[in-house]
Amino acid sequence: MSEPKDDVVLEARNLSVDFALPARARLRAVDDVSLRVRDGDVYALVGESGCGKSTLAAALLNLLPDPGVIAGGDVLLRGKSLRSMTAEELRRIRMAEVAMVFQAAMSGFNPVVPIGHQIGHVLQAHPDVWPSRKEGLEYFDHLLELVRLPGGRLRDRYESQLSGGMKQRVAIAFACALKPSVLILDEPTTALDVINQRLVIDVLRDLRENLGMTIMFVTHDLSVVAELATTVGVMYAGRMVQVAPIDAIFYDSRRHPYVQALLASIPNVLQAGRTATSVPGQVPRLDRLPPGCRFAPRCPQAEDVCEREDPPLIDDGHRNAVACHPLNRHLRPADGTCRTPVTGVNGA
Amino acid sequence: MSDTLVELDNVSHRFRGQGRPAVNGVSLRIAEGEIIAVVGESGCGKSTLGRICCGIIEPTDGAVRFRGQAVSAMPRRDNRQFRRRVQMVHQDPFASLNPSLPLRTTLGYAVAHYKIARRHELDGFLVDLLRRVGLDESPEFLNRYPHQLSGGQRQRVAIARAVSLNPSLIVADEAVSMLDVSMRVSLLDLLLRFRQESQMAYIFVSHDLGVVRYFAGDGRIVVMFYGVVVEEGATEDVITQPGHPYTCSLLQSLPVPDPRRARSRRGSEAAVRFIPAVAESDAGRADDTGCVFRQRCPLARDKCAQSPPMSDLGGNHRAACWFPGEVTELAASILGTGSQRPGIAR
Repeated sequence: MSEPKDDVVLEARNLSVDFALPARARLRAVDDVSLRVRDGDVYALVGESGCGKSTLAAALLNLLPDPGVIAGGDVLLRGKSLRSMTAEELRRIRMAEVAMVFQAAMSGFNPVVPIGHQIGHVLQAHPDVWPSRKEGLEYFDHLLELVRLPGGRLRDRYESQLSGGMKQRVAIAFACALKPSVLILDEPTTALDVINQRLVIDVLRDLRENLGMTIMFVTHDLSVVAELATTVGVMYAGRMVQVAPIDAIFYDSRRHPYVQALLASIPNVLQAGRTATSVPGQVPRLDRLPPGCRFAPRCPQAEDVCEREDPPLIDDGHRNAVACHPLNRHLRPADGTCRTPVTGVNGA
Repeated sequence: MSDTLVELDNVSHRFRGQGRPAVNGVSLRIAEGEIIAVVGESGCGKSTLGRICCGIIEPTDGAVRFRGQAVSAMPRRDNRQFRRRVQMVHQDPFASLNPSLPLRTTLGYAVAHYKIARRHELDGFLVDLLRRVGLDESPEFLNRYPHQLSGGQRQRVAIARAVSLNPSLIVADEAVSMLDVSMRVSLLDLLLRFRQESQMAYIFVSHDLGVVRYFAGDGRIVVMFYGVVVEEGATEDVITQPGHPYTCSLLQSLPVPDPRRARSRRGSEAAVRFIPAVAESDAGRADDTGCVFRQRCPLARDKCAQSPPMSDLGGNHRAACWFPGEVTELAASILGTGSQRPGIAR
């Protein structure tokens, strides 16, 4: 690749995740996905329910719920393979290097222990990061202020005394307590009202600017992506169908039909009238994947080739990689060689 | 003017143990076939208002009238009709369907109760119902349980249950906010199609003004804050010319799918800072008489210690703010109208 390699913080290389239920066929929820999160990026992983985006996010930290397993590929954190790490090494980097805020993190608190004690437990488990508990708690107070909550006062509170939006922000402060360099959030704005969505968006942007955090988040809402992301990876049925800088996703003419359909489905407050159109059909079940391009059955631009062959993810030379036969035709000269090799983006 | 379907007359509701009423002196008239969107943030009382409209909650004060008749004083027979004609679609389709009942029971119970279909016709009626909400129209599908359905399918079942009784009013409480964005429009279209077919009215509770503009484009918006209606008017008027600072803050908060606009708004000084909601400052205002929004309002000043009346902005558009002129300026800077920035198109 032409870009300097050292600024890639988190990388997935041809990562595949299987769900292996006993006496059933293995289901591949994430299929040969590669992505690179660069230092300072806000990387959005987008797709509908069932696209594998949350599974991929969990796989990045090797936190897959049973019976999920990483079936192939690797995850590299600053060049170091996660799959080669021991359980103890993994435990050390989780939260301290890469922290995760799970979906519905607001329901992850212990209801009978004050917030301050719960963060105390985390500090206790990572004495290498905060040898002094007092300093750790002070830093946590600082984080609470950053997420726009009243620092010290909040530590005595119980979970039930906080609103949903406050809990989500406390969960974010929690995740930052051990000074991770990467923060992964699964659906951070889902189930929040617009006022709290805006707060979370502003808070994440502040964290990136004030703490130099690299952020990856999973969402189904392209409006939130537009407000926050710098790079976007769009997933469909376990595959990455487009990886591009934020502006390319919204304004470039070279966009995956799925991305176009997702954008057209947003009821936009800026437009009068019923201009939005829903995406027809639904995400295929993993045990009934169509041959060829997985989006072809829902795609208005599908051709014969789409129903036969899997489209490769091809970069146009401006970091805008799309996996679509009709869109990639002009990028592939007659001799069959790609103008831009796909290694690095798709890895293949 | 068309006939009044449901009327709320100075309705308040105070939950037991709460100092402040969740809904505080709201009057609302819903005409036959009308769409009213109730917007506001979590905890503003919009769901409680919706529940009062369909009789799930009996208000502690004020009267609810259905076709001119007070609900609290209805004879049993009329109350049965009221219960049938006003239906609800709840927010969370994972919680609103009984997990231990197959769809046949979930959908069939009320249909049989109101004798809408005879017992031997029930399956045929329910299959037709599935077809109307865009689900798999087969008798086998009726044997399914909620856990076998996706979120979108479940919400279609919830809609089927509501429309099966041929209601005059459907209260949709955040009916699409739990669904993927890509599925919302098809559900909204479904609800709108039923309205075209049978002229039912909607109370559409939502915090998302984008969804509201789509769904209630030809209806009205009621903006609630802290149990009080702070603004109401035709949907397009409220969205393009908001008359209350709180409506402005809702519009400003809403993420829009346009990164360039997001950046220009962020960079410009026009990004008015609303004072963030802090639970403490909002609590303990049980006997507060001033403007409910003043703790968070960038325009607030001494006069706001007195509660502003709803003032007429023309065209049945009313808002409760002492400084309508300044709200217009505030709205212009937030919406980007009156400058070079891309604004909200009318």
